[in-house]
Amino acid sequence: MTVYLSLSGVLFLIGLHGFFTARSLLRRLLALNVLTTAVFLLFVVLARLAEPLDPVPHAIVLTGIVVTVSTTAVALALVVRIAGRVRDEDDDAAAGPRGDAG
Amino acid sequence: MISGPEAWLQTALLGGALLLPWLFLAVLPFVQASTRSLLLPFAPVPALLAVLLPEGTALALPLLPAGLSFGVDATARVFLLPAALVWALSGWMAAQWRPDQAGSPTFGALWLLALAGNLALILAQDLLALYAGIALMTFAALGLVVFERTPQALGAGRLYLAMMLVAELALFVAVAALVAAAEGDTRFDAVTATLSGPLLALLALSFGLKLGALGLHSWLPRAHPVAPVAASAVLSGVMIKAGILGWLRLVEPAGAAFAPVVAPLLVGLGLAGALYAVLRGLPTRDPKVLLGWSSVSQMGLVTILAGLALQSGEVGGAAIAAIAVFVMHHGLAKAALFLGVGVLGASRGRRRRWVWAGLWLPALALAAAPGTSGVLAKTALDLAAGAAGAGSGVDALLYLTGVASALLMLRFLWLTRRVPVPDAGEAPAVGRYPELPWILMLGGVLVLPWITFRDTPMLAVAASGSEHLAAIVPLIVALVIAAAAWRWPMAVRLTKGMRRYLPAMKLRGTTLLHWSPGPLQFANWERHLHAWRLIGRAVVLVTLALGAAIGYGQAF
Amino acid sequence: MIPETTGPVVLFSLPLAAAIVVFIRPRWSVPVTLGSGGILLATALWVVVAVLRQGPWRQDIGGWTAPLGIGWTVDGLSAALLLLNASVGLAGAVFHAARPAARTPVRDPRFFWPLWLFLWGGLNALFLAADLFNIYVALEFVSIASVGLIGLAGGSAQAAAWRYLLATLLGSTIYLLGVALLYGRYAALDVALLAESVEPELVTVVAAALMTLGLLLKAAVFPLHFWLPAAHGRAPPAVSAVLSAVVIAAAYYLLVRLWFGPFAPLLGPGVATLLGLLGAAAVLWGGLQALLQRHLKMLIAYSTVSQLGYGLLVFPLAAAGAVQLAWTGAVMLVVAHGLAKAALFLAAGAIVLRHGIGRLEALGGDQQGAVVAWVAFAIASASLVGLPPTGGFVGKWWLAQAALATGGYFWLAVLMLGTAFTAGYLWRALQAAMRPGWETEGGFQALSPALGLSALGLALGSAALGLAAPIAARLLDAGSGVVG
Repeated sequence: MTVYLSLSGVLFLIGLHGFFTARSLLRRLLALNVLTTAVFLLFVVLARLAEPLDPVPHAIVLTGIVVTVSTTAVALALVVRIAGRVRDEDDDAAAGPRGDAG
Repeated sequence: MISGPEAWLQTALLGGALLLPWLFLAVLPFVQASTRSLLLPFAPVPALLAVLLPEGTALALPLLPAGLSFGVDATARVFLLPAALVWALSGWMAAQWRPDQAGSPTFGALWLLALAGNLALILAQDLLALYAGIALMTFAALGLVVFERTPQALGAGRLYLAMMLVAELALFVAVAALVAAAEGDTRFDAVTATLSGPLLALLALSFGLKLGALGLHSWLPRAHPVAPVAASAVLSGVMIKAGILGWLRLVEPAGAAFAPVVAPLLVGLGLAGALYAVLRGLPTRDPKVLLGWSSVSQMGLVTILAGLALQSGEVGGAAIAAIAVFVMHHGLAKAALFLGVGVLGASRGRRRRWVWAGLWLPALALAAAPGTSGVLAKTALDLAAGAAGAGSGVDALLYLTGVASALLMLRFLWLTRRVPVPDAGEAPAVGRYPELPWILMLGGVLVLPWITFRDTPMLAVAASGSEHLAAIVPLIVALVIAAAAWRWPMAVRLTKGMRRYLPAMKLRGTTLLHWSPGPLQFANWERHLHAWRLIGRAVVLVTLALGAAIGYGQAF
Repeated sequence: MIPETTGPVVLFSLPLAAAIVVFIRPRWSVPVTLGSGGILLATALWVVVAVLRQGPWRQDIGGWTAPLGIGWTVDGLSAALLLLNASVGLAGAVFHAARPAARTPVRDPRFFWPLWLFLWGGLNALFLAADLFNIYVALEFVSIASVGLIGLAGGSAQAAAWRYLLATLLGSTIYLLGVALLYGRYAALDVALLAESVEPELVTVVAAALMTLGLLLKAAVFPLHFWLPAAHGRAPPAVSAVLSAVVIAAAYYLLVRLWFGPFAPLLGPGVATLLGLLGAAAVLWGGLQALLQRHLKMLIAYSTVSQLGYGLLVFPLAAAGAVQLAWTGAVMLVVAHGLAKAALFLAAGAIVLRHGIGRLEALGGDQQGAVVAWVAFAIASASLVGLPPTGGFVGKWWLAQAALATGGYFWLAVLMLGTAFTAGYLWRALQAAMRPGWETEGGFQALSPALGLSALGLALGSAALGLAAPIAARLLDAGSGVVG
């Protein structure tokens, strides 16, 4: 079990690192999914560790997966729309503070 | 305390005085422009009637954290009469002479808000009500200052905002600290008992800014002249007195302990301010700016009285009586002068000459000519100074301020005699007797102070012929100086040149507010904060800091 | 007599049902949204009155109790925020319905109304939720709807939406990690259950740090505010209003819920000071940046960064002992800010629509037709600055009292300095109205009066909040178990 716990921790750190250093939109999104997976793994390990076996974390992870699928879908939709125009490191919000969008 | 329908009526009148401006504010958007301009003169009418209410009439409103209480007492009455009168007549003037302005909903709303704040602060019987009134009036007046939308007005507005903000923040801290020290009690007698040195300093800063005391005055001669004339009249005549009212409410009751240190300071500051402002006011060509400087000078005299009022016993009493005289005398005369400048600017030909002649009355009153309320004010000031046992040096300086005021008023009359006054109202005056409110105001200047203070000992002194004879001397001295300046303009130029050597007493910090936002360094730093790598570091750093901070001091 | 437990059910299910209806029948969007908005506002008021009458309550949906069921708690804090959400939601909907269609900034109008209602429902669910995982789900719900709404503005707003999405998802995930750790340690998710069992030890500390960080990200607290200005500045006005007023307040709400609930035993001077310092930095940095902005909406967006910083001052002041005052003051300030900020964004939206441009120096000139919007702007400014008798004043007053009672003069100085900044940047905006400007080509856009009036309603609400201070204090006292 310790192995899985450590794996969850390492995955989280990898995800975090990837998230902040990624150079493309898609990689950043994937890093975020790695992060979420690490958390889900932790939940599953917790369920296994409990005595007797605990069903609640499974319910949580199932809900969590649904939520993640939805957020990923939204994120992908956005990526599709902005991919052509925005290089990720340049989408600096303060570079051109244009507040006149309406 | 009277009970029954009479008491109920009294409370209703007090409530009406406070709430009528709000009621008018609510109907403002729904009435026509002509009706709208009528709201201005009528809004302060219940307040004018409230002067007649017996002391002790009170009203409590369950608003804000601690509730608000209002009422009529001796202090409130002193301020209420000139305030309500000046507000009413100035509103009437605005309606007659600038129907375009008075009919504008923005002007009306700002006017009514400032009026509501002013009445609230005068009638306030607890600290929160006083603070709320002052804040409301100050920021509504900001709108009046910049109402003309000229670059000068906006610049003056910026300065006004910066300095009034300092005043507001100092006052907020002092008020909050007083209430905290009084354990939530907001009544005046409860909070003044807890006054301490630092809080006194904060209050002095705040009220000094409101009053335009020397060193804190630079907003006044810039902000008062740029407003529409009717607004200038209430600004300079009435609103400026909020500082001295606050001083009487919060500091004076506990003042005796601080008097040995603070009183001489204020007397010195006041004397210097009264003289300095005249020297700055003489060279100007704009009569409204001159009137602004004259206000600074007069408030210098009030600053002297504020210092003397701290002392207990006879001195304090005499000083407070003198403050009461000054509030009315300066309020009416200065409002009449500002309104007169407006009337003058809009009049032509023969009529203009009559108006100019009318201006002499308030100008001579401020110059303390015999027969005017100026003599009364001067007598009251001398009596207070005499009671305090001020040395001959102070006496001489006070005498000098008399000469200086007279000189400034002569200069004012000289400036207005022919020169086309800027800020002339373009719109034609409405009504059959558009000058009527101004004439009423002049009548007030002439008789009201004498009537109001008819039973006071100082009036007995002031009414004596010798006082009036003595009052002529400074005026003659001023006339001689003025005649000399006219005959030998060289000397005038010298006076003007002097301006260069006068220290420019301004808050230097306020210039900071003039920078325009450019590509400043801060904007660049902010941009860096938006880069993902830096955000990553920030996230890690904040997490570690949070973990350490939460874990710190916990026993595991 | 309908039991008051019906209120939360309506608050949660009506917006979602309405969202589905308007998605299927886009033509009914406006009447359905405004109609259900009216009902939601009335229901929120009813819930507030019920809390005032009989105090907080807890209800379990469908009779399923924790740990498996979904529970809701209604207390003064959540009732106040439910009311805030309903007011801003309705005003925003009125604004959006009344905007001139020709110049609509919305790319795909079909999706606006369903998303708007989903956001509304999600926020209500968040304010009602009683357990940590439901809170997570509600947070994600809110995030998705918000991102969609920002992105609808098209163009540069989509890049802003992307950054917002990443930031908020990162925040949720970090929060969820904290939840997992807490669950592993205490086998409970219910906020009330956790409040009874939490004790200071390592796993709890880590969990608290992670959850706090996640929420700080979502609340855009300095130095994690990178996503906010662009997202709030570029979204359609109604969206900016609800994001700045309610969505940010929701993250703050959770911070307060957690730290005065389950994590109360951990609230030592160390973390309280750290959170207070972050708040102070936000107040000053946000204020400074707002002062430097050239666009009206960006100025208002940075003001949100600044104003939310005040809310964090609750932690050091409460930790120093003035729990009651600090707590009431901070929540009052956040709610008053919500109403005022929404009013500012709506007013700015109307003004920008009229001028066709948002640069501050271009806003001068004739203001006929935008007077109501500017009046709303001025009243909302008064509340943000904290002029009596507005809600902003009362909040600052209570916070100042808390600071003075505990000798926290540093926090008092932050409060005052922040006020000076606020007055400075708001005056820059108001002053723009008074400068002579140039006419836009083709003249100004004629506007529906409803645009200005929706902003005015919110601004007046923010001002009236101060007058109702005694009632507000009573409502907030019916708050979480720790307080009162």
